[in-house]
Amino acid sequence: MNFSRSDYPFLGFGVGLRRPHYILISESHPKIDWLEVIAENFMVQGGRPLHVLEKVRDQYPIALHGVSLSIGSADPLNFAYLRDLVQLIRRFEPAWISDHLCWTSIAGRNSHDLLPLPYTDETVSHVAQRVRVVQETLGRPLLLENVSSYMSYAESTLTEWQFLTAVSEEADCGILLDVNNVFVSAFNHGFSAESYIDAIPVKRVAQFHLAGHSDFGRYLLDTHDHPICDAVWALYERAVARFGPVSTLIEWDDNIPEFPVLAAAAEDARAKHHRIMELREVGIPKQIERPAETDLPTHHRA
Amino acid sequence: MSDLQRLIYRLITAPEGVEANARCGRGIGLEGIAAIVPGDGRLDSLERLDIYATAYFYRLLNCLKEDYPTTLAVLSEDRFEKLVRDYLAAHPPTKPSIQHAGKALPGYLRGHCYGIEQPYLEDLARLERSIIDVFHGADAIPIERKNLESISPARWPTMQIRTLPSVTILDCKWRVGKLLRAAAEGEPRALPEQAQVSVLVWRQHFTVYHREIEQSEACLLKLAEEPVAFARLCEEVSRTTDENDPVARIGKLLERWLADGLLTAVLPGG
Repeated sequence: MNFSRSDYPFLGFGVGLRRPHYILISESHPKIDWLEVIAENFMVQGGRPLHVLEKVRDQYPIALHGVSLSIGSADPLNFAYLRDLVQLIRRFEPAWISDHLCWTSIAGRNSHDLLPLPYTDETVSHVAQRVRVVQETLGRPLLLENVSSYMSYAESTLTEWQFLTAVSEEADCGILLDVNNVFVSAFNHGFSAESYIDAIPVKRVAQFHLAGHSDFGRYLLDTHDHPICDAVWALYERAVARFGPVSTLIEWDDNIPEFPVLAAAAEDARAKHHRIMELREVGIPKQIERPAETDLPTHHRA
Repeated sequence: MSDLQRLIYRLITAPEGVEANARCGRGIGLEGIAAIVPGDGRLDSLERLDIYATAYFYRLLNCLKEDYPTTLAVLSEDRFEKLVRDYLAAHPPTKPSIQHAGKALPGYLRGHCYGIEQPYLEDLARLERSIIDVFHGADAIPIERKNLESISPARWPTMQIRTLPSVTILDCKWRVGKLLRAAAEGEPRALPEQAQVSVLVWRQHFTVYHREIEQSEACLLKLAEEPVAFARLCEEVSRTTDENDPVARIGKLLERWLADGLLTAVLPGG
């Protein structure tokens, strides 16, 4: 199972398919390049969700995005879950499948949260071996997404970007780079978001996520309930400058606005992407090649 | 790795909170936590773990609020939150999909102090849960009147019918269907009448409905959960109905079942 970024089409600028927009998207087909679908929401026997997804799939490219693979868990892989995922893949033929570089369950219990892993060589081996099994089971490479985190482990010996890179190289999988998650974790742990972006291998990144977060003063929370802030947009521009054309998706999971607001955010991403790509074509200006560190409000500084 | 993950899971899901769990007799202690999850000038170790503990509980609370809106309205926010906290301690989520997290709540209510105080809560929660399960139940194509009309009368006795897989019948001790309707109209505090009733929950055109049905109808629909010969249903009607004309009775029921889209898999007999 070999990952090659060239196998991943540039789908353009999409949004997450969420329940308040099911009817609009499945019946009115608003203009949007593509949709990302939370896999677990469709692991049901029947009913409206699957019917909606069939109609959506007729009109749009989709990607399946999981939240419960628990790829970093010390528990054995959940093959019943993988069977459900395979069924969805066969039925809906997504452009790709992604999940998170984290653990969600242990001892058969599920936290329903994306918990960070210790960044060690041992964890790299553990996760990479499991990713290879998952990829064999699914019959295709997986994209792993960096999570927002609020804690780290004393035993970590690698930076988060070294860890993400090492897992993707050893497992030969792709990366879904969540730009907002980089920003949130950088703030919460006091590292440079720009250094993170600059260290991720270009050949591994097949998708971007963008989202809004909540600012609680001493920390940022990845709530997906706000518009994308300027600092995250700036980081996105830096990512586009580095990684080139990468399918981009706007996530919004709480206080979900009317669809046109989401579609407008996707268009904002398109405009920024086009601007940076044009600059790339004529030669990358210094401010894009090496922009200043993301300027945080003073209360964000440690 | 396993020990670390078990520890983190225990801390962030502890009903008493991260700090109390760490400080308890068998807890790791605050220094122990700091040695594993370091703090810094921005947030200390406990604060960092508390973010996850808060997210764990409120994510599940919000999910259960969506699943059990009338149970929530009857109990009120504070009591529902206490119920969920107790429930999660007894039934932590085990399935990958969060949609399953509240599945055991109706049964749990039976032994919970709120369920003992308000014994109709179990039936109410069961009905709310059934509505979700029927909504996501397996698809099947319901038969229509014209499908039956194409079968010759001579073959009707051996004709096999069955209900759609999503059709559910609940046996309740309280008339909670009425309570659910009252809640939909903004009156969740109306006390339901105590009575042995059967509630039919079904889905038609992706909308879930529920209605009380007579015990005799419930028995027939339960028989039809597996393919059953039409003659067998007629025998059951004759046995259980006081009506003079069991044929008319089954005819009337059949009309209603067809109109509601409850039946599928009609296999003409030989």
